[in-house]
Amino acid sequence: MADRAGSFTLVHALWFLLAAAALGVEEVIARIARGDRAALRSAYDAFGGRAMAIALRILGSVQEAEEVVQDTFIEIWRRAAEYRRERGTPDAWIATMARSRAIDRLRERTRAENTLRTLAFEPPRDPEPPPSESAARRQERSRVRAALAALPAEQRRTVELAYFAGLTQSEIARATGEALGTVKTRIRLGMEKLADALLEARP
Amino acid sequence: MTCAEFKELAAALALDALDPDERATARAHLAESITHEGCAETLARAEAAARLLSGALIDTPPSDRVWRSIEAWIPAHAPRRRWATAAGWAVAAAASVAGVILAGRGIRLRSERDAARAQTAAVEARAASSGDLARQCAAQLESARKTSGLAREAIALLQQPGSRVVPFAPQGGFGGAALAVLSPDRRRAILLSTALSPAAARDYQLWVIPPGRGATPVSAGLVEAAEGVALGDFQPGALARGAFALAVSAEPKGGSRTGAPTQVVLVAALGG
Repeated sequence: MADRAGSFTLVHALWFLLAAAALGVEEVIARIARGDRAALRSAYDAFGGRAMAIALRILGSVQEAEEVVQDTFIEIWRRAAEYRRERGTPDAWIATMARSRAIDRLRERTRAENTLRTLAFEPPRDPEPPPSESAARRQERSRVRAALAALPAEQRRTVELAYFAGLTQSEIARATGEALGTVKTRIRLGMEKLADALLEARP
Repeated sequence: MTCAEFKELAAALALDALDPDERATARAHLAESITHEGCAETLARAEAAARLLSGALIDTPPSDRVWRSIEAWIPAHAPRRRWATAAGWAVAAAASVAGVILAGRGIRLRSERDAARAQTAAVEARAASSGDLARQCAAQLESARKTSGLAREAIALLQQPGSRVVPFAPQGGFGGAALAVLSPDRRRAILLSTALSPAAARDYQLWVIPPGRGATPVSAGLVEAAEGVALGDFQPGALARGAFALAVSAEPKGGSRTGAPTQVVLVAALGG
């Protein structure tokens, strides 16, 4: 057994090396997992605004959105060790977590409330970007917005109702009066086009 | 649910826009041990796109009271120490190994490589004089030699400026992970995993999914495993047309009988 130990150790060492290289850019999350409060504050400063934006868009209530942000960062503190790079970059992971919590709250509301929200859904007016916003963040927003704007209007609205209003396909169909099959097709086609635009042309 | 039906719903699943029953049915289909027709890949692509959508919003800083509440909560609650798992400790150990090697001090690995060569030679000599045992040793030696050689190539690839390390996501409940190091021109990829144990009736096969909607996965060879550590050299021919994603499937011994992946267990989306 010891005869193969050399090569065995070599490939294990390589495994460690590759793992570290893969996770290097997510160092801040790794530090949180080790109980570093300053790292959590860094993540909050960097990504709290994104979490708030998505929660506010879905819930439409500052108080509830702030509760979602609080829950999200407490969850990050508790579960940072479970972060995996394939779940996306830290900002996308945090935004996804915040969106998921916001949707959970949304779905605790009654169906009637959600139907009314859908009928009233119009993307709210944009706030001013924070002064600290980076050029990369501006560029990212432009790219995602351009991809959304390139969709046919009905596909864009259906995807926006699903993603930014947190509604299910059935809720969208009920609220808009469209056939469920039409809603499904719009979501599928819209997301295929978004994937083409956002993934294959990623800088 | 059929694969075609699943793929119709994948985008809505990625957006969390399915009703509970439909979501459960879709998840159950994904976990089925059947020959899927690109279900995991379709979902992974939709999820990757969905993750980017929040980027359309303008960040809205929460009020100060939110951080104060978080700050008040955390002293009494330590993070969960998932680092205590094997994978976690592997990554923690990786930091120290990588720190040494990436700083250009590859002494430890080089000495391990030399030790491996010496030990390999010793096994070879013993194998030459021990009948059946020798043949068994020789087979294992061949496997170890391949993986050891590939490991050295992966290190060289990693040291090239512009090379990337890409993680694989487990599919269909597969319990493990893998990484691949990708050359700057994406014409060479080497997979490394501790999760792909060899078995008497099973092999793991590498696949390249070329760019373009509906592209057919291209076989890229079999994973070589020794002592529970597996490496896979994606055949350059399979990467010649470029790659949108890399995948690993579980197959009968010798590889897929159909020319298509039987059960995809790991996928890495490379993007454009």
